[in-house]
Amino acid sequence: METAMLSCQHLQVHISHHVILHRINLAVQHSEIVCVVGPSGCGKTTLLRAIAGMVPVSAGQVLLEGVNITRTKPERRPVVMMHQEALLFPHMTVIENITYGLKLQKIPKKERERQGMQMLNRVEMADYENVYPHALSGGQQQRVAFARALITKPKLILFDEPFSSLDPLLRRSLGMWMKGMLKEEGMTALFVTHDKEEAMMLSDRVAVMVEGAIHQIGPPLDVYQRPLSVETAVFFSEGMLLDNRFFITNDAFTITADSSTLKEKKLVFKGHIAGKWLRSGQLFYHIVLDTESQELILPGEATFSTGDKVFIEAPEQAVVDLEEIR
Amino acid sequence: MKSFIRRTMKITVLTLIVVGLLAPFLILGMSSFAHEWRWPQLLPASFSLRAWTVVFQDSQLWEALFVTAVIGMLVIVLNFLLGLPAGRALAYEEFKGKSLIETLLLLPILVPSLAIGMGLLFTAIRLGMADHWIGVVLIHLVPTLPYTIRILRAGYENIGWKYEEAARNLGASPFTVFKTVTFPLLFPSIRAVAALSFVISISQYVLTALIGGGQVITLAMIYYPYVSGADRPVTAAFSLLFIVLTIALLLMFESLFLRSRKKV
Amino acid sequence: MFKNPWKKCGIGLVGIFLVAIFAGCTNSESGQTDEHSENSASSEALLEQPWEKTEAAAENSQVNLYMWGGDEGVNRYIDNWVAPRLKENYDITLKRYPMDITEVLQKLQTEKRANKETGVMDIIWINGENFKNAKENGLLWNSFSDKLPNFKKFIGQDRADLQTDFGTPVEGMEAPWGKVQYVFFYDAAHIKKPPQNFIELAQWVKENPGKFTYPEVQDFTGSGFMKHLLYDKMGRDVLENELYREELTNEHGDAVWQYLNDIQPYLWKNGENYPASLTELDRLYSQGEVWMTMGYNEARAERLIEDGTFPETTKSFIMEPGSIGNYHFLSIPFNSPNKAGAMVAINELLSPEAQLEKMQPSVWGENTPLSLEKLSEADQEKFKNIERGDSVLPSEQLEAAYLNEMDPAYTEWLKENWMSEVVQTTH
Repeated sequence: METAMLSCQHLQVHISHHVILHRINLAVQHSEIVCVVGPSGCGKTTLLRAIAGMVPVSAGQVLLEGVNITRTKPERRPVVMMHQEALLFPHMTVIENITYGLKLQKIPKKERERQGMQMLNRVEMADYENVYPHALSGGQQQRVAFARALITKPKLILFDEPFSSLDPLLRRSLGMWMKGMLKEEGMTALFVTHDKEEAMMLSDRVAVMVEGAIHQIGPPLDVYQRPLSVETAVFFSEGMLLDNRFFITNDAFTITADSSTLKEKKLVFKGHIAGKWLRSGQLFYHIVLDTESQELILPGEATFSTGDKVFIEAPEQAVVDLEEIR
Repeated sequence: MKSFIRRTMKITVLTLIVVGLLAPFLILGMSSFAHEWRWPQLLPASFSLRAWTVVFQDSQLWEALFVTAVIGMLVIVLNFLLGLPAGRALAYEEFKGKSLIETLLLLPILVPSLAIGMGLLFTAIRLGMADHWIGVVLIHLVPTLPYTIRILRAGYENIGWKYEEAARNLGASPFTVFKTVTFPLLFPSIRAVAALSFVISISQYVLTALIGGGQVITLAMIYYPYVSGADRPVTAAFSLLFIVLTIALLLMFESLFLRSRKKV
Repeated sequence: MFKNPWKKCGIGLVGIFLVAIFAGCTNSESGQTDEHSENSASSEALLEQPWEKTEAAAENSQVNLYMWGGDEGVNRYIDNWVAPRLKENYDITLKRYPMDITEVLQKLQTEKRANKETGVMDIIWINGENFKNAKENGLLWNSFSDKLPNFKKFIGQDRADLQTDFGTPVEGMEAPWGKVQYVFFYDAAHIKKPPQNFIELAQWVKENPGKFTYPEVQDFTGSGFMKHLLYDKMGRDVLENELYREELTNEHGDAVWQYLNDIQPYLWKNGENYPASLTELDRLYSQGEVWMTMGYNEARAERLIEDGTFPETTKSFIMEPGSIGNYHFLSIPFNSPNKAGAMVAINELLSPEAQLEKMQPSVWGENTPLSLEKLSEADQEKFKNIERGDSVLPSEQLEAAYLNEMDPAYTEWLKENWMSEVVQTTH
């Protein structure tokens, strides 16, 4: 098997006696985009910072193309990190920002500027060469920051929620645009986000991280449909958790109006419609269950009204026993 | 019509500001040349060069100017050497005793310098630094460094550590980060520190007198005794000399910075 | 946040800085008595040996003179007249260091505590309260003045007015350098005939409301004014060269306060404010707000007139019962590195030539402590012929009115009571 581009082995990070990362094992293959997704405070940013060399690792190691970089200084790691804020240097123009990394590599000025302009063209910012960052919009700043990272030809780019300060529409389009660029360049990337839709859209594989540990890694749809732990089920997948053990994913459910159509071998729950809305041409219902004190959001065909009593049913075989899997 | 009123008001306000800023200097300048300037005369009855003759005939003036400038500049340098790491640590790091250090750093500002000076003179004598310019430079850190650290700390907090992190990420060593990112972003604070510590240093009389033992003659040593006299023109002339010295230093500092910026 | 090599060093440096300060602050104990080192042993010999030997020892040495530097006339006198003369006659390099006596004494005090046997100061300019402190704390070297030929010849140990310095016995620990008397100055453009005594002064104040004031008691000149009032109310015979007697203040205190309260409403600003210092009073006078000022040094108006600070019509006067005078002195600190040089330099400063130069109104203008009758006739003539200026009273008049400083306890008594007896009383 080919050596992974990035491999974290039993990675542990403590910050003043608190375990932030708990024996993380994670491999990212060449040209692969992996998304670490998890609730805020789960340690995903710390994971990126540990890989970039910004926090000391207390145990385990970080390998980059098989080379142990656990103790390498951050500036010596061929890894670049992008943040929520673009962090463009405010005292430099766009072109100076972009060529900053090249200058550190002692590349002559002419060559630097040539590459910089090329990169500016690629990120569609060629007109902004001599503009200072404060004059750019949030999305433009992130594109320049992306160019600034890309131009140093890192082996790995780390993204720490790079779109979270942008508005939702721009977020999607910039995300897809960046993914396209990464794929074009054949770049390996590790994203971190708390937005699972974004994770599903951007990544080849997702890793679900809860409380400093990775609970499941796999292609996004797999993980969504077949969660292997309560944590993954609750955070990443969508469905109903019973007794903190049995899980039914949302796509197994159907909504019906009367119980007479109930069949054998089906689980049935009673509830009422709390709200409904359309998204992308599909009708969604917000259903509050009477018994389980749970809420579900399900797509539906029939037209119910808010306040209607409904039943939701799922085939018995759709129930997964998460404890058994473990 | 409206824009005319607005423009007139703008000009009036600007003029007032400029006059407000320049008036003290003008008055100082006029006082230094005044001969018989008695209330309620608006302008001196006659002018004389006497005050300036007194100032420039002082046998120790040139030496004092030189010593003052050198000590002031060394004080600036030491303030940076100590203040930059300290301000950074206080801004970005959490450590035990941080709030204690913050409180202690206020003390030299609050406690009269004489109280500290006596104790430090004792230490300086023991260390053999009394009556020597090195001791004077070090003692000037007492009234300057607390301000320096506070200013730089605020400066660092303003920038935030993320730019430094971003730069390191792109391959810059800590020193390069400082040179290319921190220093330019921190420059307003750095300029404030340079000006403030220089002004504080050159105006120290008590500490300079105690530790320098009178052997180290700065401008303040010559100037302060005159303040307690009734000779207004001489006092005014010395005050102007102080101002000129400070402005000269700041201009030098500014040009150094501009030159270093051009290289970036 | 992230690991940075600067972190430890930053905290460390600040730590060292703070430790240094507090080490300095807590060092205040350990006041050891000085062990007599070789330095002081050999310096004792200085007082025994013949003068020629002292002069020889001082040859080719440097003498550091520490003195208040706020008068350019005085500074020029030292730098341009005394220093070249010492160089030429004795091969001594005299260096003047401007430093206030407060700092000088603080420095000596600390050096004493730190047991620093070789200091930097050779001569200091001192008198009054500061002399008392320095003497009591052992900051002065020894009794040396009667070893100086010029002191022996022209002043002598038995001068009644030089036995004490503001009540502190001098005992040869300092040598008199100059003499000043307290006089009042007035603007003759506004005042035809100045008051002759305190009664006339009060009358004048009432006739010219707002044109007179005196500095508050904390100021040297302010307490000087009130001491004259004490002489007036209590009488010369019980105050001059006498110790403090409480029954006197009990008996006459009210008369003193009554006088001051009586004139208060007619003072500058209706007596609601008093100038904090002589400098302030001088400024009021120079700007014409008040028509009188005062102070020690009967000749001090001369140069201020020349500068244009005081009006050209400034004259001086003294009132009954007289004019308090005092001396200022030169002394040698305990740890002077060049005591021989200091003695030679002080001796030279007491020479008739140096004193004559100092008395020139364009130089310094103040009076000499030398006994004129002990000078050669030619020198006596020169002193008498000095044109001290129109604002200075004739020396016979000053001499006749001379009053010695009284016991400092009276000043203390004034300071303790003036605020409550005068300022805080309502009228």
